Amino acid sequence: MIQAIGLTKAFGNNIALNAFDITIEPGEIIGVIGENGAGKSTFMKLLSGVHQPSGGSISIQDEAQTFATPREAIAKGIAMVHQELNLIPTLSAADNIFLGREKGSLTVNRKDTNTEAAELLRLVGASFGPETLCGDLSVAQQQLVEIAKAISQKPKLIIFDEPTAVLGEQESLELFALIRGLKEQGVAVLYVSHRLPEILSLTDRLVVLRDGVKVGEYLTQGQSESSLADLMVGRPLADIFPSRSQVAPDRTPALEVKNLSSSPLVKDISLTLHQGEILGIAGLIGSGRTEFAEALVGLRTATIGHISPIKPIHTYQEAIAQGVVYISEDRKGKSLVTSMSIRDNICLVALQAIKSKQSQQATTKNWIQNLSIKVADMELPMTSLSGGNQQKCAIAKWLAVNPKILILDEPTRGVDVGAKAEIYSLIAKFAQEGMSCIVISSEMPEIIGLCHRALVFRDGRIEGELEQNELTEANIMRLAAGVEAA
Amino acid sequence: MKFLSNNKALVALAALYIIYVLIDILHWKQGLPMNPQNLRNILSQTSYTGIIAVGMTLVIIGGGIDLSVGSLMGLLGVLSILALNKPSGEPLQTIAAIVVAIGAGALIGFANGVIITWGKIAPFVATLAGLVGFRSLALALTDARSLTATSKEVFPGLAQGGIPIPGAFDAAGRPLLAQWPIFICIAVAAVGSWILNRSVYGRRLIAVGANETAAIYSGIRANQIRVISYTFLGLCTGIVAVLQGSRLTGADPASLGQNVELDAIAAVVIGGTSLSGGKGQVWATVVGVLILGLIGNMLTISNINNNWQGCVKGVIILLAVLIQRGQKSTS
Repeated sequence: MIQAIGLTKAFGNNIALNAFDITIEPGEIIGVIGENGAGKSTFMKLLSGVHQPSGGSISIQDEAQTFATPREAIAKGIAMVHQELNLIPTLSAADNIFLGREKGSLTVNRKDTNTEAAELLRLVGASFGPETLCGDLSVAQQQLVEIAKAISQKPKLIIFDEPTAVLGEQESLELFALIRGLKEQGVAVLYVSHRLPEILSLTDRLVVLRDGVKVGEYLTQGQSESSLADLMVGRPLADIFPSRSQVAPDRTPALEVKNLSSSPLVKDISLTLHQGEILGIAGLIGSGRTEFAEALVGLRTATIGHISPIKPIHTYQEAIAQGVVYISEDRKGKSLVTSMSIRDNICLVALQAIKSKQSQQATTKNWIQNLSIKVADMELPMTSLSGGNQQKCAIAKWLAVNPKILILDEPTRGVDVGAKAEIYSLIAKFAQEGMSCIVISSEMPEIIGLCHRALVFRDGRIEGELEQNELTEANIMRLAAGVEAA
Repeated sequence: MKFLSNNKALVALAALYIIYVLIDILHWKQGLPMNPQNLRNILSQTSYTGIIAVGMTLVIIGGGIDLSVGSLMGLLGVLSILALNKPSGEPLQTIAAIVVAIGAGALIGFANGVIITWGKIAPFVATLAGLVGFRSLALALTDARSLTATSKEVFPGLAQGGIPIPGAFDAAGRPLLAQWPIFICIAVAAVGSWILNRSVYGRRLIAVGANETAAIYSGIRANQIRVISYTFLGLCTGIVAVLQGSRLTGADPASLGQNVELDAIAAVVIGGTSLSGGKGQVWATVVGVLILGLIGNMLTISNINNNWQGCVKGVIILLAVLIQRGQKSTS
């Protein structure tokens, strides 16, 4: 029995997980659900020794544990299948499975390593040999190596973080069979997923997290997808998303692109964006959505068959000059210079037009008011702001050059629910004022609640287009995963 | 074909040797590419850099770099000769010289590793400090004067002695020796290769270099792994310091080991080891050292002004990286 009592984790002033209690019995499959930023990953990282709690305790068979490193958690029988793959591309599948727990004391026992790895790989339904280099495997195959690695640790508890995100349907079914097999052997399983049907069919119990707090624990039996969605969000979706503006049927195209390709991830994309429209782009991670946007604005080399009514774009400067701007999903890495001040960030792109300190301050002040950014002092570094306010600054920085077409990549990643709602109403307002927006998002409610129309990407191509009345999680998922309608 | 594309460094070495032979037949007409003494000289000259380059390969595969080895070699050479010149009689003197150089080398390598990992100072910066500091320490210890080894028998034999090559004689008709440093280099390379490809530690080193987070998540003590790689390099540097002291029967604090770090890193790069870590081979580094040695030899006998050597090496390094990049995108 593994127990957490009052588990709390704070990052600076931000409390990611607050007084979380859970008891996990052997042979139980427990689902953990919640929106992005609800505290699921924090909980898992505390349990697996990646982070150390700021408060509360973890115990195994009533014995208190402190895991300073993942190594200690592994030693106590807690294994984790990470969402971001943690394999070494230059080592073989077998070497990856036993990494950190190699066979042999000084020399690696190649024979034992490969035999045991082959057995584990067979168990998880992999079709490749133990000596295959992980760098040569597909993402789905790498996921199988991760799972084999976790099982090889003979854990008491195994944590799955969105394991099916990169798996095909057949591989997912094999994984579920495997998880049920583990359950029969008395292994406890924590299963974290956005995919509510999986949670419903696989788990015995489920825990719902929201804003770092446990909303409740429920028996899976008797729950439905819609009841789970309500528990996760905590309020009806209508309260988060603004009402959609009407887009006239005879709308004029703001952007027409034909046959855009950018090797290797973007293949032959054609789309039309209308004035005042919010066009969603959905799809799995790695489906080429970000790469498409970067290619469109000239940040990646691309071949374009035809583009109108704007002139062809070869560099990002040409795109900006024509009012086409892209707000990256990577806020800290690509969108903002977090060590610079709020004013410097907001004025960075429009610097040619606003050189004097006074005009910069005026511009910054204007955007702070317009977007209701909560700022104590515009000369403080960007790091002094919360994620939501940082994201608003990233938007303000691009609004300062008066764009006509705004491409927002994961605009609410790592942002709390309140700020999310504000960003949504900003996007809706821009569209109402005639700006055209492309919203790239992995969060299906965002696509469904905000967009007039959505394209679903898969493997670098447009797999399908969904009109507003066709926007459902099932439709998006079906296209994103490339599964035929049942 | 697969063998050739997987072993580009080896192909380059073979191509270079063929070019050497052709130029000699057409132009120089001295028979040097086949001359046993000349070939032996290339091997013995490269063996010193080779030993350090093996250690450097492991450090770089672990995601690090060490700029301090040249200066460290100067310092260790000085310490080694100082230990040697204590009048304790042979073979004690020689043993002291060896123990001091290798021991201090390993210790300083260990300290480098600790500063880099637990001290959280970037390897480039930490070892840059060593590059500047160790040389100065060597100069200060000797008042910038060259030291001469007092042992005239046992100690010089370390680098100058060897095994006669059957059927080969030098210009004076004496049997040609394959000197000990050549064998020591081969041994160190074999050990390095075993560490990288066969040992548990090697798996962990590659993991740490390729993705430190993933390694830590797999329960590996990444800091410890990296410290060991710097310690091993320090140890290799100590071995070379002793051998150079023996070859030169003394140590000049100003020049001993100068720029060795650059040659070693160049050899690692030419061998195709990724400077970002996680990928590489020890034997390929040895081939890289031989490529540099062969080029040096060709330039020396070709009457091209010595000052051009660096230019040629620079071009070779760029070419090597370009070829490796082509290899990556095609696979």
